[in-house]
Amino acid sequence: MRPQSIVLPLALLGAVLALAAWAILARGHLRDGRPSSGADSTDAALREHVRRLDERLSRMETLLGALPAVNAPAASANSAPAETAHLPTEDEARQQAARIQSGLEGVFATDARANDAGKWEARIGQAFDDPEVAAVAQPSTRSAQCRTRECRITAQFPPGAEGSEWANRVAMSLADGFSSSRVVWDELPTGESAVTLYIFKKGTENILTEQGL
Amino acid sequence: MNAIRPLALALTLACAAALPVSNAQAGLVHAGFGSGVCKASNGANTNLFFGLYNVKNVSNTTQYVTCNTEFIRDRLVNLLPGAGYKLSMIVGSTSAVPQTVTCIASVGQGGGIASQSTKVVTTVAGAPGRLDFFPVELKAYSDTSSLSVYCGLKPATNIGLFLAQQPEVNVLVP
Repeated sequence: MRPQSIVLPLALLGAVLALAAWAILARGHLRDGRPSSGADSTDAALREHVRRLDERLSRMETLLGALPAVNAPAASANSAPAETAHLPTEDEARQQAARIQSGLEGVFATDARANDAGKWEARIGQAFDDPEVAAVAQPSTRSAQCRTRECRITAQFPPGAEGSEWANRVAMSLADGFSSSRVVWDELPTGESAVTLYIFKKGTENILTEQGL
Repeated sequence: MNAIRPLALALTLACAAALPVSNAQAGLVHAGFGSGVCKASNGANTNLFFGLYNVKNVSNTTQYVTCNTEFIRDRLVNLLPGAGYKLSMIVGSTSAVPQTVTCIASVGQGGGIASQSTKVVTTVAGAPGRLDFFPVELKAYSDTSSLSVYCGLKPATNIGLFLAQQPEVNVLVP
């Protein structure tokens, strides 16, 4: 039942209750003025009626309270209600990340190595040596491989090292040739952290959509 | 911080009308960045000025800033996995010489994975630039995503007026 449809019955019920209360008071006044011998039984019936109406009102108030607020916007046909959202657990998030990385690796593996791969790898090497990149915490190992549509950069950082600054500055240094990327971070059993950047050459980003990545 | 967030949200909503970003079908969104959510990427840094809704480089060298926000989930905001986000930023400069600002927008997911995009804009005094990131670039794999922006600000440049939205919540990328 929609909240709006309850408002009218409630209003009617309120009017009935008000009328009943007025009737009781009016009879009381009349009785005070002109005592009537048959009034007691009528009063009892009226009180019982009012009591039942009271109970109905309470039940309706309870039902109304359980509904969403009247002023809350109705969910549009295009939007999923927040109540139905499923927040993934940590395990589910890891599984999802693993599935996505598997997809990214699959795309990389099937992308042929182009003739100009060496040129792109050299360009990434320049980014590694960019003074703005060299100014932050450095990885213990790093490498890059390029394919026709993308390049993959991997790096490992010593335990406790903050690698995100390095990864960001490398991506920033390569902004002239690459735009979209997917980044995967792993914590290794050794305490090291590893990052893999899948960076896509400008104009090839549609591969991500095509592969659902 | 708690006082700032509603203000940032209010500004963002106000900016939604000012920026030429269509949100007619928006499953709307959401949040703004301001001084409460941006910080120098290398810790304390007096070379950056943090206004309520913008960040300005007041030094003679490139400065890096990072802004983080989380999506607020309620009846107005539906973060559907598979869809992406649109993020628009205004970039300004007080320099007479053209300066570049490079920003990386990143949607982080659980499990250590993020989708991100890098954009560059050149700006000069009196001619602000704009950075637009599109849903295909900022894909959200799950409904627990967070949005962050990392920018390299050349001298005398600033960023501000963020607007993030998920404009096509009914279009899910398979």
